[in-house]
Amino acid sequence: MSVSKLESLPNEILVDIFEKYLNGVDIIKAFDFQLNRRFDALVAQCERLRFDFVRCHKDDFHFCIGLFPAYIDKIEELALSEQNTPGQIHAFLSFYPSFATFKRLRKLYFHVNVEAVQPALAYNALRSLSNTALDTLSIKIIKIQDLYRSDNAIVEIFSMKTLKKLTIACDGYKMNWNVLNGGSSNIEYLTIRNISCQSQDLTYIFRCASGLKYLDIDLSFDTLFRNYQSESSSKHPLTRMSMLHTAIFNIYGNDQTTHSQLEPYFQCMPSLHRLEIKLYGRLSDFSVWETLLQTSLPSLAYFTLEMTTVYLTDSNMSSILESIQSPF
Amino acid sequence: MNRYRYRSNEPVAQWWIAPQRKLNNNLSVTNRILRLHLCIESLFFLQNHYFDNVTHLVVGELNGNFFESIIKHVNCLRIKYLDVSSMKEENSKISSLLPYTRNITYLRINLNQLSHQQFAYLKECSGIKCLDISASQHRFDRNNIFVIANMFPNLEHLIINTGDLRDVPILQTYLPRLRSLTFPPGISIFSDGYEEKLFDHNLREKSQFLFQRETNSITVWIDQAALQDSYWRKGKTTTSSSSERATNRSWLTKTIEKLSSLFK
Repeated sequence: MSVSKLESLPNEILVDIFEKYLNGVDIIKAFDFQLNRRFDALVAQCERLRFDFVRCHKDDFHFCIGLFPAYIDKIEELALSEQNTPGQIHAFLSFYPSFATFKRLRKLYFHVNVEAVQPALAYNALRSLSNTALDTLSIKIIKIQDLYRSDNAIVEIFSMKTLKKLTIACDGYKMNWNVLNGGSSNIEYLTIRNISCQSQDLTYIFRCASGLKYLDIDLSFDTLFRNYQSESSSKHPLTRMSMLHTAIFNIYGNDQTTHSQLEPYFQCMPSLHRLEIKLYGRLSDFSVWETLLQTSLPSLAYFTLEMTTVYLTDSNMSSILESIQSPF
Repeated sequence: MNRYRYRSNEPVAQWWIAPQRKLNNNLSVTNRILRLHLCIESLFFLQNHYFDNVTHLVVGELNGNFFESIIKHVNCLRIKYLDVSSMKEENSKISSLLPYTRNITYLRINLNQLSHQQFAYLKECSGIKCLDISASQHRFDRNNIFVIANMFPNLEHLIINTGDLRDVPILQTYLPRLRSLTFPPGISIFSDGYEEKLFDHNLREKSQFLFQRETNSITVWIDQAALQDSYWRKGKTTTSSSSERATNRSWLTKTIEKLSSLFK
């Protein structure tokens, strides 16, 4: 059997491969004005491209950035990161300070260390996101506190009209979630990592993004905030999250009333199908969770509970294991 | 549920899954565990389980039985990250594990654990993109770079632990695909934020390249200009001990001899 060469494939298949499967960095490096006129024409014929610069070679990055003006209206996906490539974001933003330039951009992965770029440059880039038509945004911001009005930058991201999927991660940022109050978001899939969020902050998130279908969030439960929460909850009635089908809560803190604090939120999730709870503090009696799930979440089909055993002795470990073995 | 560890680098010593759903071979299969840190004490809990989806494996020590247990109870083909740097055993034990983990892209190993026995395997296993030899201090001279480049020709990220950086520029010749280099800052602990900022400032004064400093490391995005930076010529940050140098030298001489014989 003779071996098929890439060049023997028809144009339509090659364009399909370029558009859907190959990284734009590799296409430019390997084909564009490197091979022959046929391939140059095929690359020019592509209507959408994706560029993944994560951990890329510095020479490739600069080569592609130099040729970007020719492709700027074709780029649908873009991934930029400073992980192992310090200076990449600064270099990119020096050439393209606004993401609004990328008219067809739909997916963006953006990992920035504010300390390594000029804060104003980073802030303007984040603000420019609201002038794009992104539907998926994954953003990791280190030292976000160095940004002027960092909370507002996050609010503007939440308010993007076209955005359906958002993953946002920081390095232990203390966010004032009530700035979301009065805002409106179309986000359906939301993941929040390493941004402090007390249980009562869920009220603001639910009110802002009432169409959520998927929520994965780090929550802190602290006895100090418990009283404040009950006051806050009475002031702001909870929004019914009728679309929410999956919730993942990573729970920190040793408050033994975690389950009862979550109860009103569970009652606002009538369609919740899958619930995952990861407990990083003390586990209260497992039976209270059992009762809570049975009474508050009628549609629940999958439940996962992960917990640390730091606070357990061997004897109560075995009793907990026994209680989990129940057919519930 | 695992016995949660007080320190992140402690191996797993106890393990439970509730409820247990066993297969015909009496093994309870789990695909939710992605990261495992194993040592001799882990042997007991491995017995009843099969870890189908482990992508990160850290192995502390390895004896004959333990090695067989890993092969039997962990799907080694899924492993992308392998750390054998804390193994004290001789090279042959590591060599016997490596062929089962042929899809790894990240290897953490001591430089003196790399041997001619692994050469054939590693040469085939061109998927390794990141090599971390920073677990203990080592020399980083032309000969070491030659050995690394022969074993890992497609290396893109290299993490080293040396105070002598004078031979860094020759990476351009031996590892042309290298994208980043991580090395220690030469200062073990910064007393405060001011000292950190001062260190960064001084490094910026001494070099032209951009860098990213973590607590114990500095990472540089590599290109021709970064490798030709004058910083490397004066970049002796710490001095390795004489015994360490002697150990490294004897290992290196043996390995180069073996490699030369393989080429013949």
